Amino acid sequence: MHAIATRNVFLAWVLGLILSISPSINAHPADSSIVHLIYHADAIELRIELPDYELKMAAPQLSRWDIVPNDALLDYVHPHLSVTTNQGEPLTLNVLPINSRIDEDGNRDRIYQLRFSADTTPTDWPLRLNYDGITHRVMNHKTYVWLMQDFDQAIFADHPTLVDVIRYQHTTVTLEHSPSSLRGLSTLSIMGAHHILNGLDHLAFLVGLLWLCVKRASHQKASRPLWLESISIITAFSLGHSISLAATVLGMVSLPVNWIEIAVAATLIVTGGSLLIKQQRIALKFECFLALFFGVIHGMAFSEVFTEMSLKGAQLIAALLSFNLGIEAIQIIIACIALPLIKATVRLSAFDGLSKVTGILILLSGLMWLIERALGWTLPIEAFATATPLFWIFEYLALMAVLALWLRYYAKQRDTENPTS
Amino acid sequence: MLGRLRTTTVFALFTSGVAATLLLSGCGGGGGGSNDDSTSTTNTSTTSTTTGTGSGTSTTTSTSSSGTSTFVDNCNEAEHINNLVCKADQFLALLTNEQQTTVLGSYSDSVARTYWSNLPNATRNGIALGDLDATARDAAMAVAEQALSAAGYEDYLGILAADDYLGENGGGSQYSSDNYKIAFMGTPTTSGDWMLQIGGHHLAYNITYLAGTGYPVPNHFASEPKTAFEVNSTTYAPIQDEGDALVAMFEALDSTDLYTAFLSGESYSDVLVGPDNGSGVMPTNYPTGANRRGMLVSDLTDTQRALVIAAIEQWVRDFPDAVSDDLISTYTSDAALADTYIAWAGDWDTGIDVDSRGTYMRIDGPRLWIELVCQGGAVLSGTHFHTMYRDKTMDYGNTL
Repeated sequence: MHAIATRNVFLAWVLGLILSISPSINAHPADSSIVHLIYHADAIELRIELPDYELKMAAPQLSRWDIVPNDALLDYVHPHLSVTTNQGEPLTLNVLPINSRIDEDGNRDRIYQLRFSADTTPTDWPLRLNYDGITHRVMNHKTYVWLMQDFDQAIFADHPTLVDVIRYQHTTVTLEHSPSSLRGLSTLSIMGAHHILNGLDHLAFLVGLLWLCVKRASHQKASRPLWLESISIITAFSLGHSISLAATVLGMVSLPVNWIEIAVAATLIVTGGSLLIKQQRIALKFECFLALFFGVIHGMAFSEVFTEMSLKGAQLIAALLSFNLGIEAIQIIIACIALPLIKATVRLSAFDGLSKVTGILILLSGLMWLIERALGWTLPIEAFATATPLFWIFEYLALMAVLALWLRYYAKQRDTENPTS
Repeated sequence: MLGRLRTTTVFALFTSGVAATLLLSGCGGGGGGSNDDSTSTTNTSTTSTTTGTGSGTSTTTSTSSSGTSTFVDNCNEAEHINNLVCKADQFLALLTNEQQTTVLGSYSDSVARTYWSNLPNATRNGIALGDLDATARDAAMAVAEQALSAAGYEDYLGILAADDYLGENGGGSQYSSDNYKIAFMGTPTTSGDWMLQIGGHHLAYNITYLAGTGYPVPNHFASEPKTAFEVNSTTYAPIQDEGDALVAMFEALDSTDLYTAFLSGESYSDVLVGPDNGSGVMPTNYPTGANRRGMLVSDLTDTQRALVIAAIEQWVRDFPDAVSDDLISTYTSDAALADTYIAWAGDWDTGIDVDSRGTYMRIDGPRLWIELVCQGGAVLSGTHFHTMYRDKTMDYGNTL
């Protein structure tokens, strides 16, 4: 009971602090330091940010520089920073190259950044971070310690956790870490699913592929059932993006992000355009090849999620597989919902027209993204993309299906009322 | 016929899909929603006249951007706490159910009770003055007037005016008297436990009432500008007396005592024990043991000691005698003064210069904690004061 109460208080405290930090950036010049922690499987990384004004208050000798040079900054920080093991042994801190970055903008004081790393073994944990930079002299100074990444606790940079606040008379922080990859793996799977659900371009492409499949099947005498053909196409797409995702994340392929995004837009243009072509000309093999090739492009785009993560070795492979698993699972679910909706429109005499409308919409979306990403313009497509993509897609498909059913009903009624027409 | 219908239908489908999408997109993405902390950007300019009726009822007729007030103050109880509860009830009665829910928080929620900040756009408990109609706003001001002494209420009006001043002088809409909030944590009663919170940029009144006895701490109080300024032809200087009192206290020391009071090796860019930001617990970062440094008040002359007491009163006497009398007695007893230090930090060569960023002064007693720091301007040039008045034992009535 006491533990729960303490935890609640702590969580509320954290929440309060978080809420109090962000507005402070606008209200008064930033005056606090930040330590970002990144836990690797066998190392810990620290990124320290120090505000210029308070740094010079704490170390007046640094005031002789307008911008404090790296060496002087390191000389100052080193005596105030140590990480010790559970047994009290200090870890060797290695200074990581550059990133001694200086941020300056209208709302904040100049901020210096430093990076350190230290090798760890499982028996070293919990570690103790001892840091009184600036606080040793500026009594009110606070250093917020954020855990930015711990794969085992499923903590990543997009939702960091505040570990503690270093302040007057409180300059040692205990860093907990319990090795268990399950949470990390499941979170990565969810992230994979979310990546598809929140990406209108990926969703539109997937629906375009499925529509193409249904349309081709409706025009050609299919040798296999529709669901089997659909699986073939989805598998080809999955194979393509799995290969390129792995290759990109493992550093075997490296293309500028913008190029990849432009290529993704191009896949939509081609897919949308394919829906405008007479389907007798498109074979299943061709569609599978299309899916495979475009999958490669989309896979490179999926890899963007990993750019902010500092994962290595087995952790990276496991993360990759989990992320991909999430993508596959959500693709299958989407296909299971979308296919019957598209199929409902097949017997409709207006099916070709609806296919063209769908094709035009996908093509136009791709074109807008292409222009946006290539030229940096902002076009109306952003309003859709930033809202709820999945909703738009299913709303569109459902509307089509309802309309198809209504038209069939209408035609039947007409036939009943006027059998000779 | 069917062919025409088909074409029309496809077109209708296309346009309806796009229209529905755009419509929903506008609803979802463009609205932005209402932000609890974003309030009207229009500063309320209020003129009011209060008329005593001789029978204990006063009528306030005021006109503001939120309408004309028809507020009638029917409270005239002799006891401070009775009158305060009466005014609180009077205010609550003027609110809608929804507004009452916003104003009334839970007394048992320690996290919520410690939720206050010095910042202009932080999340706070309660309802903003700008969200009240003119009548309810006057009733809210009547609650504040009752909870504070005459000097305290004058300071309160000054802090509100200071924010309007900042808003009009380049600060923008985040600075406005409309943004100040009032909240009750627990239901106001004369015999039970509850808390009154009034807060906004540079202001946090956290007054806990335990069976009718008020503990007005922690109290954050600041103002930019720190000296006199004018708004709507009225001159305000809400924090000048406090600053002057502390400066006078140190100026009365000879150089030896001033050096004893100097916190060498310590610098301050803000108060040490600042906003609790929803910690849910009492602060633990007061200096203790050898870290409690400065000039001991019991070692001062009577004249110097009187200046210390005068400085203490600048904060504590912002609250009515019913609240402050006992506290003043406690803070200034011989036993307390024998354990009370006055201390300052900044630049020894410059001395105590309130125009210098980083100048810091404090009174540190066994219970009392008052500190003032000179900060750089957030909107205006020059320095401004941030201050804290705390009671190490009785913050939040010691009931977290």
